[in-house]
This record gives sequence, structure tokens and C-alpha cells, in this order.
Amino acid sequence: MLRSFCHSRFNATLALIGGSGVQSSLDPAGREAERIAALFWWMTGGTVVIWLSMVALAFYAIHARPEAHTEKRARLFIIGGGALVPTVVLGGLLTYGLSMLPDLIAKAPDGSLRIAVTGEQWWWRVRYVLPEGGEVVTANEIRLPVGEPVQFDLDSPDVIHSFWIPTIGGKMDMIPGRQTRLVLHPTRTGTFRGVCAEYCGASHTYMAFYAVVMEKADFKRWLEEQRQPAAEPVDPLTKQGREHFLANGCSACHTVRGIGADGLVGPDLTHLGSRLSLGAGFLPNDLETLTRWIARTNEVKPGVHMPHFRMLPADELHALAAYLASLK
Amino acid sequence: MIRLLAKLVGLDAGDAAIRRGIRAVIVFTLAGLLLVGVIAGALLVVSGAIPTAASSRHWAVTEWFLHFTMRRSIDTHSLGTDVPSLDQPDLVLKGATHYEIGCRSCHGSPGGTLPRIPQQMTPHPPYLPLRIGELKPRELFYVVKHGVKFTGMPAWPTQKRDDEIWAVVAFLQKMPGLDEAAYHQLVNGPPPPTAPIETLGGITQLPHALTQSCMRCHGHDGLGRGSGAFPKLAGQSIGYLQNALKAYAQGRRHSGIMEPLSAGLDSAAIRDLARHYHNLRAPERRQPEQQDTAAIAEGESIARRGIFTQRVPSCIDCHAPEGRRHKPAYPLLAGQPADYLVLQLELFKDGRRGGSDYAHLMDPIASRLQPAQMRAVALYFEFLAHPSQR
Amino acid sequence: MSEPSHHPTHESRQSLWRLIVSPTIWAAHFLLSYITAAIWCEKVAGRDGPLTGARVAIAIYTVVALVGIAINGWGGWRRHSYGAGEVPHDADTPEDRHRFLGFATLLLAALSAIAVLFAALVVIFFNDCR
Repeated sequence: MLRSFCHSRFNATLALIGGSGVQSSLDPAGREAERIAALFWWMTGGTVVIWLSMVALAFYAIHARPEAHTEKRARLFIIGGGALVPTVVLGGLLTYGLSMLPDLIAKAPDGSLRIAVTGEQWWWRVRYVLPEGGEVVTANEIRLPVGEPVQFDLDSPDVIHSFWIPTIGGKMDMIPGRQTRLVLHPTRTGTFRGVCAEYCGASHTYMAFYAVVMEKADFKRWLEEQRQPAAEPVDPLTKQGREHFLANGCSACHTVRGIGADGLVGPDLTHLGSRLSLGAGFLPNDLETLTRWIARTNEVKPGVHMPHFRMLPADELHALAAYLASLK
Repeated sequence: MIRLLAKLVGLDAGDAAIRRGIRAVIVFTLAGLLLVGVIAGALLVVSGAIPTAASSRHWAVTEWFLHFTMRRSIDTHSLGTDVPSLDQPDLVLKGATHYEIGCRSCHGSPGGTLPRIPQQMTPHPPYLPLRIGELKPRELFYVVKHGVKFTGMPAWPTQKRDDEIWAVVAFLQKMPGLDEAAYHQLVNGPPPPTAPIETLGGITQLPHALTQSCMRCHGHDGLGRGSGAFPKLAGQSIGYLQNALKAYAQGRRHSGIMEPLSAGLDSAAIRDLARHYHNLRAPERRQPEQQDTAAIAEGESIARRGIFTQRVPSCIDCHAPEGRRHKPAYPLLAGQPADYLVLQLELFKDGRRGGSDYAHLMDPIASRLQPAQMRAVALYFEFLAHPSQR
Repeated sequence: MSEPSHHPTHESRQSLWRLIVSPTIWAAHFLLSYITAAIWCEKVAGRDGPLTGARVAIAIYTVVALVGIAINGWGGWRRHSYGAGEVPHDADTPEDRHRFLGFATLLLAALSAIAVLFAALVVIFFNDCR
């Protein structure tokens, strides 16, 4: 039942985002992904050519010239086809692949947008490092301006994760105790999906996020909004929700800027209501799911570190969810 | 052997048929005897002729055999038990007060004899003040934890609280050295004030349990007799106290001491007790010793900000909130003895504490703390001012 | 018909060791290049530093390795061309065994040379430690 719940939710989310291609490296929306796609197509093409040649050779040997070759001719086939051609093909592929690498791992030019992403079991801590100093903290969602290089500084506090937005670029491991780097150049706007590409524990499958590529002006506006403290609750229900949030100690783990909630253990919730997903990229962000998430975290996401709050009275859960949803 | 038998009765031992005949006679005789024995035994039991009356006592040989069997069993089963350090006043005190409530009625106390009723049990319990030296500490631990079959000795109400059992053993080690007065001083503490105990919070009648049991450990002032063995209940939040008593009563919080006591309370008594302790004057803030200041500073940092690298959240958001509403289900920790807090954290870490519907919130937190960090944060709370005094 | 023991094709003068010289040079080149780059980046240049010194070292290793493989391969060629024998040198004679070992040495030398070049190719494209 749980599985079908998640599954239908996930499909609903996909439909919401709009069709295919949100997680396909063959439908690139970034310079790095384009190169990887090109490499893929070259290799596929090459493979087809080699396969066809082999079939042709077999045909030639069986039907066109079934009789024995001269020694000299046979030697030509063996040395040429068995040693020279593979050496040249592999050498070419290696050269092509290697020549792509320096660019793929190069530092972004100075002054580029920098985003520090920490992969934790099983979510993403995201910090936008602003060029003018300071940072904007969010979680489980990454927004990028189109047409600009972005540098990701990646690390992990627990186990090895891997950061991968297939549509925009290649993947990069997040390794405890060291920082890795990935530079991406998104080339078109859209909503794409990123995943953890290294098995990292029980809820590895549920460790994903949405990457939204926006027009530069939109991105600027979004970042400015994210920088603001949390929205002030306007109606009695959300006001009550904020009280419950503080009294239940949610603030020991979660930050909501502006209300004195400064916990760092879990995701920053200051603008939770504005995000596309819940639970790290696998649940829709609506009131019903949010309530269920708070009450039954451990059932929705196996092994999750956030404890469940099933014991709270229904009205308290409802107010809490309403408050969090109002944090646009 | 069959040949020998044949010779004895004068038959031809060389004849195989005769040997077979003799063998058959032997087998059938034995089987017949066995059958008769079983039927006779069954008839004896069914007839009700065997006396199970305690007044009839055991034969000396039965008593010796049963006792010997038990002693051998206890010795063998307690082999390899790690005995902790038992010479600790708090541990002895905790064991003593429980002995008074849970054990004395059968095993007696110093300066007396075996109480009248248990004298009539078969086998009757030993009068412990004189006989405690017969068992080693590890053997006492085994007996207190598991009880003894076919006697009146029950197992400890929970198998998750070895620390409580060791407290009882620690006291038992001290008991032979106590006279009547010293024993009473230990289990009753200083006499309560001569004025009747205040009734607070609109409670017209104090629950019976308060004077019978609660005060013995938690003190008439709710300050836990100034010992690290007992939590200070004075000024604690009502919700937490009620939840704790209910959890003990339902066996969801584990304690061989508190579970039986709470199980006997009805919901009105639980409510009244919680109100009573909530309304008592909270512990005064105490000044820490010089040597603790470094640990307290570390504890303050943990309590206020948590330990980010270990993903430990802050404590005060739930347990000592400043400038916001405190949730009654969460205990206030200010002024609690550090030893008590460390014990609770260790129990959480080992999954042995249990508690109310909120208790699981602490499991991951406690399991991420190092022992020194537990001690530091516990010391911080011991010397923190209670919210009512800030 | 047996050869005198000092004759080049005599069995006491054959050795399998010469066969594996080239692959061993390849392995040593790979290991040395790897270790040099690792130590250089960790202890000298830093994680983002230039690869210069390690590149020079690897270039030298490569030249030395190729020369070694060439000498070993040349030896193999000479044994392969001993007397008048055609591949595949599969006659049951000391001469053909001599030629066969030489030919195998030559082929392994060619393989090792390509592998060494492939390994060295990496530092042509990379100029820093990232």
C-alpha cells in the first residue's frame, strides 16, 4: 500500500512537472550533458559501424569467398583487423574522451555562481554562496540561471553520495572528508530532476531533488525571495501552527529564519511552501502529504532520521502542516 | 548374562531357543513393572493424596535436595557476570528504599526476625540480614533479576533495568553492617516537617501512594532526598509527570521499581500526584564545583546549539525553552541531578528506557552522544536555574 | 642431433624471463606514473595545483620505458628471424622454439608500447591535479 502510495504520488508529480525528459541525459539541457550525449551517440554510431563490418566480414567469409586465402592475405587480415584497427579505434576513443575531461572538471570562472551542496542521508543541504558575501540556505531543490556557469562544491558528512542531474551534466561523488567540484552550464530553462547516483542506504531511492533552470531575471528574483526571513502567519490557524512548531521543539533540528528556529540538523524550512517536492524530491508538496509526512515520516521514508510525530493530536498536526505550507 | 541365568535355573544355555525365551521373559517383566509404576504414580496424583499444604513442610531430605539444586543453578548461571562498582552511596540508597517497599515484607529488616507471614511459606524466604553473605554479588544479581522457580521469589518486573538490580545488590552488601536505627535512617530519610504536608493545586486529599511510597525516594519536598539516585519531581510539568506514571503503569517505561508502584494507581491518583509535585517549590539553583566549570561550559554549548558534526540537535528547545511556550509533555531538566540525567541518556541509547508516546524523540539523540558529552550536558542542566526562578 | 650447449638455440639458453620484460616495464611505468602523480598532487602541488613536475617525470618514465621495450622487442625480433623459419614457428625443433619465444616477446613488446602510450596520454590532456 505504501509503495503504491509513493508510486502514484511520484507519477502525479511527474505529470505535474510536465512529461518526459526531466531526468534524461539524452535530452540535454546543459553544455556538459550535451557533450556526454555527443560522446554517447559517437560511441553508439561507432558500435553500429563495427557491428555492421563484422557482419559484412562474416558474410564475405561464408558466401563471397569461401575458399582459403593466401598466407599473406590471411596475415594482413589478422594483423590489420585484429591488432591495428582496435588499437586505432581505442586510441581515438581514449583521445576523444580524455580531451573532454579537462573542461568537464574545470573550475568555473571567478565570479560565477557557487552552490555548496551537502549530500546527507537522505536529503540535500543546499547553500548559495553569494559573491557579495553571505549565503542563502535551502534544501532539496536547486534553481539555476540559464546560460551561466555554476560551480557546485560537494561534500557529505556520512557516506558516499553522488550528485547527478542527468539532463544538465555528469555526475560527481560526494565523499565524506573531502570536497569535490562540478561545473554545469545549463542551456535551456525547464524543470529537471536530480538524483543520488551512489547507493547510500535504505532510502537511497528517495534521495532526489528538482533542478529548476530559470531566466536570469527570474532567478535573481527567486534568490532574493529565498533570502528573506519566513513569511509572517496571517490567519489564526497558521499562527497556531507556528506556536506548535516552536513548542514541539521542531526548531531544535530545523531552521525557520525570523522566528527563532535555528536548528541545523535537518533541512532549512524557511520557504518550504515554495518548493516543488517534499521528502527530497519524491513526494508532492501539498497539505495532505505534508501532514502525513510529519505524522508518519518513518513509514513514508524508511530509515529517515526525522522521528515521527504520530502522537500529536490531529488539530495540532493540521495547524503545523498549514503553517509550513504557508512558508512560501 | 542370559547364559548365566539359564545355568542358574538349570536350563540348557547352549540352546538358542531357550536363550530367546529367557530374553522375552526379562523384557516383559521389566515393561510390566514400568507400566505398573506409571499407573500407580498417576493414581497417586489423581487421587489427591499428595499433600501440597505449606503447613506440612518438606522432609529434611527434600529440603536439602531442593536447596542444593537451587544453589548449584544460581552459581552456574551467574558465572561470567560483570559486577560493577557497588560501593556508591546513591546506588545503596536507591536499593535500600526499594528493599523497604518491595522486599522487606518477606525478607525482614535489620534488628528483627523473619516476618510472621513468610514464616509460614514452604520453602520460607531467608531472613536476609543474617544470610546475605551466603551469596556472592553476582549470585544475588541473578536471583533478584530472575527470581527462583517453585518459591515465592519473583523475577524483576522488567528485564531491561540491570542498573536497578545492581542498586538492590549494592544495598544488600551493606545490610549486614546496619542496625535497626541505621536502616530506618537510610530508608526513611530525615523526618518530614512536623506540620502536615501541604496540599497544593486544589487537591483535597493526598493520594495514599504519596505517603506510602513516593516520598520515600522523591522526598516530602519532591527534591529527591538530595541524591543523584532520584529525579526531583518538584516543579516538574504536569503533562510529563502524568505521561510518565501512565507509561510506567502500562509497562511502556521500564523500571522494576516504578512499574509496580504506578500500576496500582487509578487515573485520579495519577492526576493528583502529578499536580502535587508540579506545585511543589522547584529546586533552588546550586553553585557548581570549580572542577566542573569546563564540563558545564561544554554542556551549555551542546544544550544550546547541539553538536552539528554529530547531528545532535539542541536540548533547550524542548527541555528549557526561553521566551516561548513549553510543551507539558517534555520534562523540564533544570536542576535535575546529573547522575539521573546521564542514566536516562544511557537507557535511551541502549533502547532500554521506554516512556510515553514522545520518548522515541530522544532515541537518535542519545545514541549520537559520547559518554563525556552526556556527562557535560547533564552537569549543565543540574546547575541551570528552574524556569520558575529565572 | 643435439647442439652444443653454447649454441644460441640450445635449451639451456632459452628463458621465459625475456618474454615478460616488456609487460613488466608497462606495469612499472603505470605504477610509477600513478604514484608520482598522487604524491605530487598531495604533497607538492596541492589539490588544484599544476601538474608540471609530475608531467615531466611521467614523460621521462615514458621515454625510458619505450626505450626498454624497444630493446626487448629488438631482441625478440632477432630471435624470431633466426635462421630461415616462417611463422607460426610450430615445428618440434629447438630452432623453432627459439624463434617462437622471440616472436612472442616481440608481440608483447608491441602491446606494452601501446599500453604505455595510452597511460601517458592522460597527462597530455591534463595540466593540473584536478
